Amino acid sequence: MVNETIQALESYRGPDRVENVAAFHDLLRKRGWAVTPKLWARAELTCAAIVALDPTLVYDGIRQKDRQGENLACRTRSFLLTLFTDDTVQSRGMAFMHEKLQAIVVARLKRYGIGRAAPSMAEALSAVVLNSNGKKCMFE
Amino acid sequence: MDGAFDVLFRNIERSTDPEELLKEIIKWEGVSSHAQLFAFGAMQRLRDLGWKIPKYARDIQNEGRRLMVKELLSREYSRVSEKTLNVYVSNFNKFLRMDDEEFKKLERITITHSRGRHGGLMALSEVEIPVSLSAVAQLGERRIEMEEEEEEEEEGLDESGEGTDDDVDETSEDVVFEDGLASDGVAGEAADEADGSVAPRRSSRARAGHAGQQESVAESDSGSVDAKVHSRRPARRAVQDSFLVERPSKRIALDSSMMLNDLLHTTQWVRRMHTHMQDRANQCMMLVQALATLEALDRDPREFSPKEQEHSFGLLRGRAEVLDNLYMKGERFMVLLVCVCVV
Repeated sequence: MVNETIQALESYRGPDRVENVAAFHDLLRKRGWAVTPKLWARAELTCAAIVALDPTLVYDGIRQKDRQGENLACRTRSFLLTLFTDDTVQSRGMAFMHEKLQAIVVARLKRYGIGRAAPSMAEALSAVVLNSNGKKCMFE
Repeated sequence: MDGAFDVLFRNIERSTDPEELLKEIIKWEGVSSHAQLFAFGAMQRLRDLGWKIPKYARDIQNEGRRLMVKELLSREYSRVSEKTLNVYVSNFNKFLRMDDEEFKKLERITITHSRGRHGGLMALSEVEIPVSLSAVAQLGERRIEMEEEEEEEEEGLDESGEGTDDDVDETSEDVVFEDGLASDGVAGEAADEADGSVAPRRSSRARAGHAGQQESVAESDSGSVDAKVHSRRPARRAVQDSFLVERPSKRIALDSSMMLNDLLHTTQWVRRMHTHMQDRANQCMMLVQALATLEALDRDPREFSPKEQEHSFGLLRGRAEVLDNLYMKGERFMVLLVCVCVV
């Protein structure tokens, strides 16, 4: 995983120029979430990844629907049978992000004008680190 | 191309703003890697500028400096007490007022990380060796000394015959009253707590009490001695309790093999804790360094030089290995940064 991440970082071209934030705001209002443009330089992403991999973070387990598992179940026409089994859900871990990293993330969002979506957004914003693709039994 | 660290270091060297320099020191102090150069650079710059924190709070003219340092420290370590902040400020000042020669010999600047006591980024308090255990050897020595004395006392009692009330009373009053510090247990305990070095003083006092005791008994009549003794007996127990953190309920004979066992066990425990602390400390250092770098880059966007990039990727690999060991070998992790907006 780390090798793939490092390869991705090596080919990373850097932050996007954001000229029209309105589209982002629209998406945020309509759907409640939106993928941000690329906001970070490569060096910053590397540091953020080091912070996010903090082994002292305390993860809470989350059982999340697994679309792949659901599709597979549908295709095999045994959806009802597998509805409540582990094949249709995934376990993920979620922990609060380090508060200093969170502050930097908020500052960056504001710099790109994204923080102006709502006056109290900076106060209401909180950030988490997601641990995905862990073994299912880890959080059960 | 100059890397981010080169630029940052150059900025620190040129800076004339004490607040910025203070922030840099607070960010980088305690880091054990090459990145400690930033803390050294910023501290050196402050020293060159002749910037010092007033030693006493009464120095009203320069009080603003002290308040500024405290404010910056409290932003970083929001959970620490006022008293701890004052200690941090004092540590800060130590480095500002140090001789040049002494400063050059320093290996690391530690303001909040000294002795592993801190309230901020370093979460070592969980693995900090409890005082009672780190001082176990000394405590053991004191206990042995005390118990030897008590054994002597008991032997004396046995030799003198029956252990009559008078005999017991004579032996029991020797600890407390020699220097007239206490006529009751509470006062005696308070006095002992105040002087700080409890056990050694107790033994010397005990010896002195032993010497002066017979004289005082001889001078007074037996009735008055009895009366004093009955009021003094609980006092001795209270003082003993205050001396010993852990007192075995039943006295056991001490032999060399037991002491050796104790020592071995303690050594092993300390070694194990040391390894654990070292591991945790390394992780914390990495966190401090990554956060400080990120903050610096956030303010002054740069890319890493190839060497810095290699170093950072090495840190990333190290982190992943720790997580791998922490959870499960061969586990696959993918960590995403997610912002949740609540509007």
